[in-house]
Amino acid sequence: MSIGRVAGALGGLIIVAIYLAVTDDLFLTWGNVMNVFRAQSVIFILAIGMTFVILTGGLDLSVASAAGFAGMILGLSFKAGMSPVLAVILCAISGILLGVLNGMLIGMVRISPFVVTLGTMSIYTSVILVVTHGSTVSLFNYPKFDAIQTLANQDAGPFPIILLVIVALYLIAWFVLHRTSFGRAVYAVGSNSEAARLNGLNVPVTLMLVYAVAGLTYALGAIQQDGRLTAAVPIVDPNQMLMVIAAVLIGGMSMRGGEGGLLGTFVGVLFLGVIQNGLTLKGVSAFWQGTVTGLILIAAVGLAVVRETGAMHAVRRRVSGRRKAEATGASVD
Amino acid sequence: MLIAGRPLKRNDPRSGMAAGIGYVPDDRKKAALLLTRTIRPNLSLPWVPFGKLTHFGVLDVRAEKEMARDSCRDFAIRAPSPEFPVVQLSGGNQQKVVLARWFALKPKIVILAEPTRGIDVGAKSEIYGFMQEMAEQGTGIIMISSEMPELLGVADRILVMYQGQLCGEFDPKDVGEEEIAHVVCIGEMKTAGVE
Repeated sequence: MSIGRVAGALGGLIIVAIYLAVTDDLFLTWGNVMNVFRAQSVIFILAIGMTFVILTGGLDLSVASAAGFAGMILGLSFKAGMSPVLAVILCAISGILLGVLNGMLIGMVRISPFVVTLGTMSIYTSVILVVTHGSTVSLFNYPKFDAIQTLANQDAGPFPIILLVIVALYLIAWFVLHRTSFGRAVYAVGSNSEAARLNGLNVPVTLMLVYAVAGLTYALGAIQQDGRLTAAVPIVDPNQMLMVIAAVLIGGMSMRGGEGGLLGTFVGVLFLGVIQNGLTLKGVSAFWQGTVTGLILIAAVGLAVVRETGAMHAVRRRVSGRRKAEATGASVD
Repeated sequence: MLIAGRPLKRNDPRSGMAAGIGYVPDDRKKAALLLTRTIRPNLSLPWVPFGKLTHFGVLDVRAEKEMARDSCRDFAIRAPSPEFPVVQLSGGNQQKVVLARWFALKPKIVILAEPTRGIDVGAKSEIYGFMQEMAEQGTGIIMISSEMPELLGVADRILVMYQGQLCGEFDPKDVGEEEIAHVVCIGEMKTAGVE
């Protein structure tokens, strides 16, 4: 993994951070920086799954809906009086199953990820609304929910507990991607699925597992989301899907798959968090945040495209030069 | 199909690998290389599903690095290190990566489809050398080629196929290009309906 892909997001992050640090006294306070992580905690977790998906050259538009679904399973489990452990397990299983459904349609039936997840995005959201009749499941004053609330909102020493959890999750995901045969398969399938197949990898199963892993991270994100809201809400925030995909792409990942990684994703999520924080500090209306996120996404991916096509020109020049040399060599013979 | 007297379980790459067959396709960019990655994961691509470098799914990266270094040395892959992007290699060196990944597994049979297409003369003769070496170590090599001089120079036995039909077998010591070309033409005429 080259540092070059992350450089854009990292550079942007540093420039924005320096600007905010200079123009706003509040920005670089410990409390504010930790607030950025807290505000982005759900996105951080969801983006791990999206990283796996986009590494295979796929896309998961159902991320926010699946998280909403798993979060609702968590809420309803608590409401039914289950123990926290059981509720979390049920939530995780529901996330994995939603991912497996995506993955089977994409890997085995071979429908495009865009179409499959566009469909399941709609289905997952609709099922939540049907089950809850559109009403929020409040978890306020539920003693059994305390553990999750603590995890989501309390500090351990100077750090929010959830930040430590996020760092641990990124380390685990890094290990899976770079130190297991499954991780190798993820990169191989994303880089060249035909080569992966011819070298003995099972492409459909790899894809199914990728979406299952993604589903699991959506469930984990959902736990954090419910913890922060002290409720399971049936209405999915349409911005959340955009934020997750944007963060991964801003982090330098190519939509074609096979390159980039978790470091870029982490930086991408943080970058968007700092931008949001900055807008709030500057008193800019929250309505502008979508515009800014969208502009950064287009700029970041646009720069990557320009860089890649620039590189393509160089390669083309070199190849055509070599061909010419070969042609003249042949005519001499 | 029988491999060493035993039938293949299924007609897919996995079963072929399990039976000891390696396959180098003719289009290395489309079907062989991970162009977004470095040399090391390109070399180990078939090693990992082969169970060579894993313990319960966890990669032994140290062993992988060692194998990759050995392959780069044995196959004279010209790159600063195994961590070099494969896309920046010359066609000849890319092809050596693809050959090395299979030869390192010491397969019973390797199928090479047009192994010297689009690479320079120096790398070509190097690749013939590696093929010779591997054959001496006991790997059976099936080379698919449409270049007659190459076939006559490299092969111990030449089988001519036309549209899936076997239409001639030659010993390269006894024949020249004309005879083989003749058989190819006949095959062509037969399928065209000219007797």
